[in-house]
Amino acid sequence: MGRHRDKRKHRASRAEERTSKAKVLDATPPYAGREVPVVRLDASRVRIPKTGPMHVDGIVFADDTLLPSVRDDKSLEQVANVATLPGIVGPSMAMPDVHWGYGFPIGGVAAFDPARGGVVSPGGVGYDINCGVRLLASDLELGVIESRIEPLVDALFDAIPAGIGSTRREVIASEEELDALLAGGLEWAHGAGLATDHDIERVEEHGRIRGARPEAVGERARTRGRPQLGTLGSGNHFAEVGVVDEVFDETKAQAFGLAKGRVTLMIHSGSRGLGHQVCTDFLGTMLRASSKYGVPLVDRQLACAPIESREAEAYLGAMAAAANFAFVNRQVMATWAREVFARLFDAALTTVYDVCHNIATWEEHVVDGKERCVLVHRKGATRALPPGDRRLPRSLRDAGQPVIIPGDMGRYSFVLAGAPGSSATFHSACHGAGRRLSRSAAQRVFGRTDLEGNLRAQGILVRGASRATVVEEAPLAYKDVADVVGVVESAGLATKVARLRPLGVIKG
Amino acid sequence: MLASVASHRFFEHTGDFGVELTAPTEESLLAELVPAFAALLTGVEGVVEARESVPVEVEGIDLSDLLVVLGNELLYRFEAEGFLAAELAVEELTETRLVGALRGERYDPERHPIARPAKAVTQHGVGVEARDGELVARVIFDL
Repeated sequence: MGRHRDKRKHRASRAEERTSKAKVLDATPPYAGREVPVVRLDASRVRIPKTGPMHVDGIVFADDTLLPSVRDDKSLEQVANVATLPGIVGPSMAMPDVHWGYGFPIGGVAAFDPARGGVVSPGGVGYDINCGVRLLASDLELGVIESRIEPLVDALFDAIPAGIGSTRREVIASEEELDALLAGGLEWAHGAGLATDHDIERVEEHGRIRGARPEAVGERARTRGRPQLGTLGSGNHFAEVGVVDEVFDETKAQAFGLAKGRVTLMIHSGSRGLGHQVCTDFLGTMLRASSKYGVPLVDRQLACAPIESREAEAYLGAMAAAANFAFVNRQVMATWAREVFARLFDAALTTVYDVCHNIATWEEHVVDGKERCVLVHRKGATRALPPGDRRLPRSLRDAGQPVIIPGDMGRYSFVLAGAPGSSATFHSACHGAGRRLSRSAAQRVFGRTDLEGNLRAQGILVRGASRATVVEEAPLAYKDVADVVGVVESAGLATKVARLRPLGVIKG
Repeated sequence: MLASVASHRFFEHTGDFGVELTAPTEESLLAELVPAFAALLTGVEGVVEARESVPVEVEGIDLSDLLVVLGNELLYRFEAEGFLAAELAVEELTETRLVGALRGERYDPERHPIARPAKAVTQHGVGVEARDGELVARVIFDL
């Protein structure tokens, strides 16, 4: 009886926690109703001065070319808003591809110290947990595939399901297998014969974020994610066949496995519905936690909990599980692509590197002159470890971490190497070009154009699950990634290694 | 003066999309999210028909949160269960709980081509304000 009473009491207290006592402490953003001031620090950085509830300054990496587009939306406000979160150390930062997100800006980087009351915020990781990029290189010369690009892209389009809710044949058979995948990431994939030792060496965190708690991933997340393993998804996700058309640093390119004229494949996707549902579920939890722990919110998407709270512990466990799902998702798609390359060209695809764009990870950094273990949130940003970092595999330790920066589907993408200057950004760099036009604006400008025909005339074949998505992802809807990469390089965060030119693109 | 009918209009967000809902009451404000969500997904107003009814019950911290939770419920019903809702009949509404019925139909790719594949309803900038005797709410979708 006692146990039953206790259970009822527990249920009652949880229900109470969910409802009547929770009141969100909505607060006024630091620069509400006025233009966010910026002070230029040097050619590649501006500072947003700390004011009101901000604990630290904001720093935005942008030159005079990029800054006007950053001012066009609410990115700067969002950089300032992140600076209001408890326990933030170092500035609230934005990479040069910054644009308006929710809560955090896309391109946002912020670190939190548990010893100073630091928090974890699911909005600082984003919905698509461990959205990221896998780059693979082949030993094929451009000339071998140039005349067969159409059957190649068609075969990839058949092999890699794309578009909203896309599903494919089941890779996992049971809940136990899903649990093992969520806990083990690429270790699970290796055991299932889907990943090689080399793959694991060349994936951030070796394809497994530690501390995953599969039991913290809810039923809805499992239901959404299970049939989507091995699928691209929609929005800005893509798989792109390209060619290395310029090498800037031969030594690093060789270490990465890249050579001029060689064919590559890039896969941009994440944790699909599973990650989205984890974020959705925990935003609700964190909204209540913010109230419980007395954290004022200038934007509800910044809902958070102290790192050492049980809510944070559960979120970090679920986030790690979703991140592991994303690593396996890209691995499975790489496997399908490998089958296509083997069948059509008897060629292999070798992983260059695989990076996370949306993640929170424990890292050691020097803060105020002292080595600290902090929780770095990257929302649309890439880790960029410099040469010599002990987290890099031996094959990359002299070169630095490959930083893969997709551009748009009509121009080019870049591969960079992390540089020592990234110590200023908790070893972070940009993650892409950044949008220039909203989706509606892209529809207005390009909706009636023969976008696919124009790209084909440039030698780029596009296959899309939805024409609307293809139009909204038009090349000129994005900033020129060369401008973004230029700022990253001039700020010393990473250096250019190679440029890739697109040949064929699959869009979700 | 009270508005006689609820309405919605979409607005732009750099990478995504938002909707502004206007309604005379809290019930009709929540209900208006349903046709707005269907229009966002399909790109067409009124293409989803109310052919069957399913119960719905959601909980939130307050009215703003209820909007977000309801939106994510609509998304889950669509993505996981293949059900597209056209309208909502509110049966009970408190500060933190909504009970009602969703009327809609099974997703048919031929009749409901997806124009804007929403993946989540966000908490970013969500809020409800009284304006000229009406309630106005803004909700942003992650695409």
